[in-house]
Amino acid sequence: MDLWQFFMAAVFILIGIGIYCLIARRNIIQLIIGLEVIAKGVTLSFILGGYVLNNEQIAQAIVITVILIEVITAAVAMSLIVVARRNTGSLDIKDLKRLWG
Amino acid sequence: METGALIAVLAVLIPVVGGPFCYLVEKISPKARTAYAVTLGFITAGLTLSLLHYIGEGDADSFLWIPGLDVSIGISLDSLSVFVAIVAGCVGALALLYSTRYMAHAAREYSLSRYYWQVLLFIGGMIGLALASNLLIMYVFWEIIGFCSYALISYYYRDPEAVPAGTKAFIVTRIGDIGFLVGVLALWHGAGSLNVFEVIDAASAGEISSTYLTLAGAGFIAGAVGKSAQFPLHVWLPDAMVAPTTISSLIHAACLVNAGVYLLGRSYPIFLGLDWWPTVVVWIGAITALLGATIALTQWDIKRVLAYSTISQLGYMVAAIGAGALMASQYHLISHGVFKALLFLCAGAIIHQTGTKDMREMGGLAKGMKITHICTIYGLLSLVGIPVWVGGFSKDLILENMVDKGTYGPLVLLIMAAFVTAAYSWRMYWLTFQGRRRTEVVVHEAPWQMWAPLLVLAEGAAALWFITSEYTSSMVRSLPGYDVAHIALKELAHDVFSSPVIWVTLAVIVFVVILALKWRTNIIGAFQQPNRITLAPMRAYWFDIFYNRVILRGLLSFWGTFRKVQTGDLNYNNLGIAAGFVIVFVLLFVWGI
Repeated sequence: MDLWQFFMAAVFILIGIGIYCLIARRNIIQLIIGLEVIAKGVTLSFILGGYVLNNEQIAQAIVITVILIEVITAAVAMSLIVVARRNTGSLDIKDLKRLWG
Repeated sequence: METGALIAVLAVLIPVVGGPFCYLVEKISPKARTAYAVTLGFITAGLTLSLLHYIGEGDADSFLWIPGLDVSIGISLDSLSVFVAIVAGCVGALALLYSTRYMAHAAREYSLSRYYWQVLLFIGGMIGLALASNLLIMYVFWEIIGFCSYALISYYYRDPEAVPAGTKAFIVTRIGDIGFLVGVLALWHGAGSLNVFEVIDAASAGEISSTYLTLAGAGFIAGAVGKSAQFPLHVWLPDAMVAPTTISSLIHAACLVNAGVYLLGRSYPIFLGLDWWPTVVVWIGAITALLGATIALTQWDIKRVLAYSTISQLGYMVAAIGAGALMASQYHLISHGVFKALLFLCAGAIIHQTGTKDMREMGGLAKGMKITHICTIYGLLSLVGIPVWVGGFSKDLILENMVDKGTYGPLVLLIMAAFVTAAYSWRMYWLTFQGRRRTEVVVHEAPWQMWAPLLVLAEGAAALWFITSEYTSSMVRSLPGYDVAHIALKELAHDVFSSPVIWVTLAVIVFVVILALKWRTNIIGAFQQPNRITLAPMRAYWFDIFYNRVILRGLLSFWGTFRKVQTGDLNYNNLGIAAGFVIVFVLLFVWGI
């Protein structure tokens, strides 16, 4: 087994954990953590792609972009959570359920 | 880096990056924030003006952005882009100066820092759109100005009309934006490059397959039709009038609607190989010109008159591009930018003083507001197209070019539109400044921050044609791939005064005189009640009703069947996302990546 196959497995595990977290958890902060875990998996997959295709430059460029976007997502999400907490007094997404059809 | 490219980058970065610092400067004092924003605006204007020295052919400089994908950011400093950037920078700076007083009343309820940074982002985005030569970067800036227009139209977010108007502008222009994106991707795939000059070379060498070229041509038309408010996607522009008047002047003159015309002008040589492309463009433009002008004639809201007038004037520019008169269209874009900004800022001064947008409640304002009165006359004469004012020269140049190229069908529509333009301009003037006073408010001249920009723009509207010779020679020098010709001032006079077009101008003048004599007394009575002829334009040709009743209702009833899926529970949505992810993954494996 090559080195990159271990990393591939790690990518799948990270994304799987993240998606499970998004589906099963109800606390918003935990959801954000799940989102971040997925983003880590995706970042790793880009590095892996660059390594496998021998194209490190583009992988590096994309990874830096992804990290930046991740940070922005986390920051915006955290500020939204603060507002939601102030307005509803809760961090449970069941209490924020207003958008049903 | 070359000096010209450095200035270009600064002209984009200073407003875009400096804008958000308004929030920090506000902590010192609101006045300091306003001064800071206006200073940034004027620095940007100065930078764009200094680009005049660096006008040259092709890419001035380019940086590799993503090495593997070969995406580079090129900066083009040719005459086409630099003048659009100058209009954006200068009109933007004047509008910012004007805002210092015009927006002061909003400070109690709304955040002015939000206003200023969005305006700066708007200006920077338009300059970036003009100066970028990479289609993908152009698309990014295209989206930035789209976002800014949405956010600024909905600036008064407590006004129940403002938010739907902003949303409408966003959604309607989005339809065009998708076309533009498809066009960019098709060209990328077809020509193997994103640089607009390389794409032009590839197109003229016949390397792009006709399928991609057709797709890109249709997509670019859709993009321009959405952004420049052409028929049939013009419906967002009149509703956008709920925005602050300064924003209207930015949207109409400096930043937003010019983008579509600029895009068509920029990409014009790419689509020379498509024989249907110019015909479609010229007819869209001509129909829009007449449609907009006739609706403008029947409106009572002073800003809506100007909005429909913009639609109509943009129709002239688009028609000119379709007829192959690239230079005339870009010339009209600049002159329209100046005089329409002037007219909007004049309307803003009137609204600021009378407190209403309805022309039925104005009248007889000439005595109280002398400067605004003179400036409005300058703007309107330019709009009507009387030579001596710059709008006259640019419009006559378009008509003259169309006579030369023999596109008579659209030409007839444009000439009819010229008469209607004269009629609504005169009607607007008479309803606001002359006739009986219909308002109780005692009007005064606006403060200097408001009339100083008016004077600058009025000077521009009157004297901008002096630069015609330099403008056209810089166009010829910097645009080898485009069909442009040098026009000296003498030839311009010849083109305007001794071509068949002079008869149109004379007839329009006679028409205005007849209107002034005949229509003066009962102008307030006209268009109050619709009759058989005026019903269609008074209802804006039922476009909104058609879109709402047929298209929107159809879409809503179709997607309404999926309402049950929307549980409002975030976990279910995440499950859907995960399921979609798995499906895409499986499909990729089945088809082979």
